[in-house]
Amino acid sequence: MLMGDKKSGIQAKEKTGTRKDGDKGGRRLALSFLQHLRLICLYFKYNLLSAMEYRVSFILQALGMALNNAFFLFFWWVIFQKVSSIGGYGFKDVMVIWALSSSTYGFLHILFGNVRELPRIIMNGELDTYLLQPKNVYVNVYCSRMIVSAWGDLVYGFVLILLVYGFAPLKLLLFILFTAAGGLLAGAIMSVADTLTFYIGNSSGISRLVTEFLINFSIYPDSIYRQSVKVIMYTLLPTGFIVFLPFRLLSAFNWYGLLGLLAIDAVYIGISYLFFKRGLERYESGNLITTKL
Amino acid sequence: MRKLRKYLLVVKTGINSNLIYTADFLAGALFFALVIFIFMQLWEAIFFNDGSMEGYTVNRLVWYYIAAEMVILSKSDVFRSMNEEIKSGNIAYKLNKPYSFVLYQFSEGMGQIAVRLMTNLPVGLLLGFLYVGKLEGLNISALPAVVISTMFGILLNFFMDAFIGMTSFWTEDNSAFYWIVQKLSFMLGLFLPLEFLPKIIREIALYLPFSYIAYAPARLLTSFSMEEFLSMVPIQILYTVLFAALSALIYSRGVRKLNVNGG
Repeated sequence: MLMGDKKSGIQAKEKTGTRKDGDKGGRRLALSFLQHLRLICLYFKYNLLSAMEYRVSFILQALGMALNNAFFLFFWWVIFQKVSSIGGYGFKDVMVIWALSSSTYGFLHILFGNVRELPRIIMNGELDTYLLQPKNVYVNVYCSRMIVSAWGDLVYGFVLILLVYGFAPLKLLLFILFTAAGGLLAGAIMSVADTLTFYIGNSSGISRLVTEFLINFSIYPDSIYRQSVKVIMYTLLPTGFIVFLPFRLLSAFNWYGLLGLLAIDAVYIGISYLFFKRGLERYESGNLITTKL
Repeated sequence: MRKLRKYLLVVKTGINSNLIYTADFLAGALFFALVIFIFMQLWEAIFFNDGSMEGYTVNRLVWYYIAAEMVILSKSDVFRSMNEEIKSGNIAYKLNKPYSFVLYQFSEGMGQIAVRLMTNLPVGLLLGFLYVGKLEGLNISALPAVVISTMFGILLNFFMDAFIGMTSFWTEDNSAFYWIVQKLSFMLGLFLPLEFLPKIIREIALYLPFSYIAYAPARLLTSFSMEEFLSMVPIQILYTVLFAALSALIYSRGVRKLNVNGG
């Protein structure tokens, strides 16, 4: 009985210890998450300030991109003058998938402008600068740049969604959530293509192709494709989870769908991060001395 | 003759340097296949493989799109190349060389275009034959006219890009101009034949240069008539000459105000 008490006492201590360790680990993880979130915010702030130095160029690029996207509105308008529906999609539905695609890729390139640039950074030996800094390389390298024209994409998506749904706070909130989640997922997939450079050498061609496939599969109704293409769209190039499932949730919301989508996004992002981390272990510096301004 | 040989050598260099980058070469062909594939699916979903619209069946629309996209995607990188040369100041190193900067860019661009055409042509033909079969009502005797129109479509596209590229002598960032011009040529003849557009837009488009890039050759391939050939090709030639002259003019003006710092 006594022995039993002792044993259970030790077990209890161990449990408390494990819980304490777990608490510490959890706290450390939360702290690291907050620190990196702060890093992303700081990069965003300074990249935006630097872009605003050339205000006219900033406005021209953002407006140019928004206008560039608006031309596609004209294309779909002409098509829907001839037919009332394409595979179950009406004009407004196509506008919603355009809004989601546009804002999603806009969000991604505003916050993580170095996505697709990683192969060049690795090949030029510019990664060394990031390795020396006390921050996670994956986050640090991607968010250190902002693509100015992406502001046009982001704003264009919001304008479209407001035109389709009007001011509907819940839909708008969901749209913001899907934009962020979809942007992170798209970034994770592009990052896998980028990261291939660690394994096979310059993968910029693959990276460019993956981006083109992702974007092009996102801007036409998914119902036009055959089953085999749809399988790719929900696995290898998951535009289904970037645009089409969010579109369905915006039309008919359900909690299971939302939680499922976020879980799937997290899995893809996790895999992308682990792939990058393993790839980074293979990186060999060329000892090139560079400066990062 | 010696001058011509010099630029022919640049064309050859352009071809060789494009053939060496196999990954880029394959990526371009795959992208061409992707966009054709998407449009094939789109037209099929719209038509349900039946009926026609403005005189176009799925078969003719697919072949129209292949011809138009081949002109658009077989373009050179002259916009990006001129932009970079001017903005980085590298142009300074080329000004004292025994060649004309514009003709050098033109020759290099022709090399690039030749390689892209050589890749896109078989890919387009293969996809078209596999997916919708041979073009309905193909008039073999029309092919030389299509080739001539394709050539001027590509040349017009080249000089328009070169013209916009050289606006960087004056502007900090000219990519917005490029996107807008590019999208105008997409909307006025690439994605849709002009016959699909509202009458007023169609009529305006026929006065603008954009439709003479992709619409003219694709229309001649799918619905050839001597009347259309005689109405479209002279305008293509006119616009090509106009933009070539404008490119030469903007270059001579721009290079005079060029100010390169550093070495």
